[in-house]
Amino acid sequence: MRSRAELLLRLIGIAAILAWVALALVPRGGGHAVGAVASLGSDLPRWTRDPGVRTVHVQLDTLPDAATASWLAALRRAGVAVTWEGDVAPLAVETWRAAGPSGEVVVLATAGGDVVLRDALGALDTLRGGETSVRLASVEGDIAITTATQSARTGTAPARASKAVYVAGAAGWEGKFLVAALEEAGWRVDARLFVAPGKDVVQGRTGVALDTAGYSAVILLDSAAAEAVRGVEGFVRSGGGAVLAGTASRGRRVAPLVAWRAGARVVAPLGTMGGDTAWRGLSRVPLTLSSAGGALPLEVRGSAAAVAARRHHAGRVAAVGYDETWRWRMTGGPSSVAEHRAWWAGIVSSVAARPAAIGEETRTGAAPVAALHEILGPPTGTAFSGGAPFPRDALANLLGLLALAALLGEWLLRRTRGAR
Amino acid sequence: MVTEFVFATAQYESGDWDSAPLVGPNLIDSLIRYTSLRVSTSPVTVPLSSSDCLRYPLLYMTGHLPVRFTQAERANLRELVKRGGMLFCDDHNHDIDGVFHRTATEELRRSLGAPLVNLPNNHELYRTVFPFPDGPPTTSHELNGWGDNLVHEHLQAITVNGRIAVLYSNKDYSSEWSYHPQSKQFMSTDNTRFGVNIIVYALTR
Repeated sequence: MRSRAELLLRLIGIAAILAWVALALVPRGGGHAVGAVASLGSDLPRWTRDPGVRTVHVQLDTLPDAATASWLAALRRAGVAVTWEGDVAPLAVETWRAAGPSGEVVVLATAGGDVVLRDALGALDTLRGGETSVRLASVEGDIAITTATQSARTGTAPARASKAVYVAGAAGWEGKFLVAALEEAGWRVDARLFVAPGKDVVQGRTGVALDTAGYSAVILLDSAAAEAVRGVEGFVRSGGGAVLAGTASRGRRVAPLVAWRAGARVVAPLGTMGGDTAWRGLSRVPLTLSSAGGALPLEVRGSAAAVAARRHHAGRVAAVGYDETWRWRMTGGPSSVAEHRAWWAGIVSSVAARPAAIGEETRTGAAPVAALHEILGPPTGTAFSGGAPFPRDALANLLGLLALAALLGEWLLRRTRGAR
Repeated sequence: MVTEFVFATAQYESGDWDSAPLVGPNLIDSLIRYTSLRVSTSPVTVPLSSSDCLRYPLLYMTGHLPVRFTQAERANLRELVKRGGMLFCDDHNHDIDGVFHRTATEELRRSLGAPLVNLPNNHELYRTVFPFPDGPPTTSHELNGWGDNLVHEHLQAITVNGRIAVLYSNKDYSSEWSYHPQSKQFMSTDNTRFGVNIIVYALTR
């Protein structure tokens, strides 16, 4: 005959066993899983094989590699609700070839802190914090930026032969030294310089249509050139670049390209040195930007822009207020020739036609955090939106332990009173 | 607005740099007659020893006497050429055995490290504005047998990257063009037209 306590323990034990059996008989469904980057290598195959896993939450302290991210994306596409959380700093790298004969690779990097810039041959430089850009004469293979915990990688477009630049304007020192600077920078220049009515000095090809098949950019030196050269608006519309120097912005033919007003010419104060880069010569035409038109000031002097730029359909337009940059070259310091050349080459390169590369692909590795957002959505910040996961295995273990303890307790009570 | 062209005569310490004072006003007159270039009506004289000479990318130089540049003059001439400027040097003696020719050509070679060579008579200089299919126009001094009694068939030049950096003449254009511009009315053909070519070449190449 059992005592009440023994009977109670027996009932508890039997109930726990029945519950354990019932739990085992209930099919797994609505299962949840939680993983971290370090364990994803082993978790992902298990989650993929287990049909009961319906929800996966990943806690990221660093970014998963491309294969892991793709695996998570595949799970998501297979119907598993994949969420993630983590405080990973955005990191992105973009490269493009500067238009022009230099073929420089421009690298734009965005990171929360310092990053190391590398190509296939090794480290190139350390970029300090925030957004930064560098121009590289040549690179080998992909470009990558790395921090202590993550990296971003992208390819570089192949270099292409540049097309010519067309220069038009009144004959004078500004045109002569502009052409010289561009030729020194490697550009092929066709020029038409007005000497007298019906008499132009022509350099290079003549009678060639102004289109992006033959030219990367056109430079108009003055308002007379803006009136004389036809087809500039259509050239820019189709992707070409235009530089409107000095008073060229006043030309009626280029009015659709302009989102600024060229003011009265300002002469530098007496005593201004020829190499003073605030003037880049001894005079300039101030540019007052319109509120509409999307023009950006690139160089501001006083209350007006000295250089401005905007997009026009597929092309770009820059206005240069400086109209005596030849004085900067001729009377500046020992490096003024190189500075004049680099400055003009940079202006022209910034607007020159840059055809899209054939076969270029957007690589998710170039901006891994953005790519993660794209394939997994934004971070949830919590493990599961549907509440805490059901601890099935732990409950089964608990029920087994309870049954064992109850039956063992019953047996001990019976032994202590001498019953079998 | 295009910068005015200023005709500048180079003043050097040796010799008679100011021996053709009317060449400047005469060529200015021609530029205004034949072109729409913006031209200063006041020619200037600039010391070759001063860095101010770099403000004038085309310098005119002439004389009869021996030429010996100072260190500063050599340095400034080198800088002018390096930055893309041009020197037009004319032998006022019209004499290939004269002292100006011998000393000036040697000084130019020493300053710039390159010798003068004959400029082909089909060079674009001879068609920039007015056509000169036979090369440099002759001067009355050549035709009259003065000086070395030669008609010089070529000008000479030092070129940098295909561009004339120094143009040297034995033809004595300094005598040919040194007269009052008003006197052009008595000429059937203006003999300064080649001067216009030289200036426009300098402004466009």
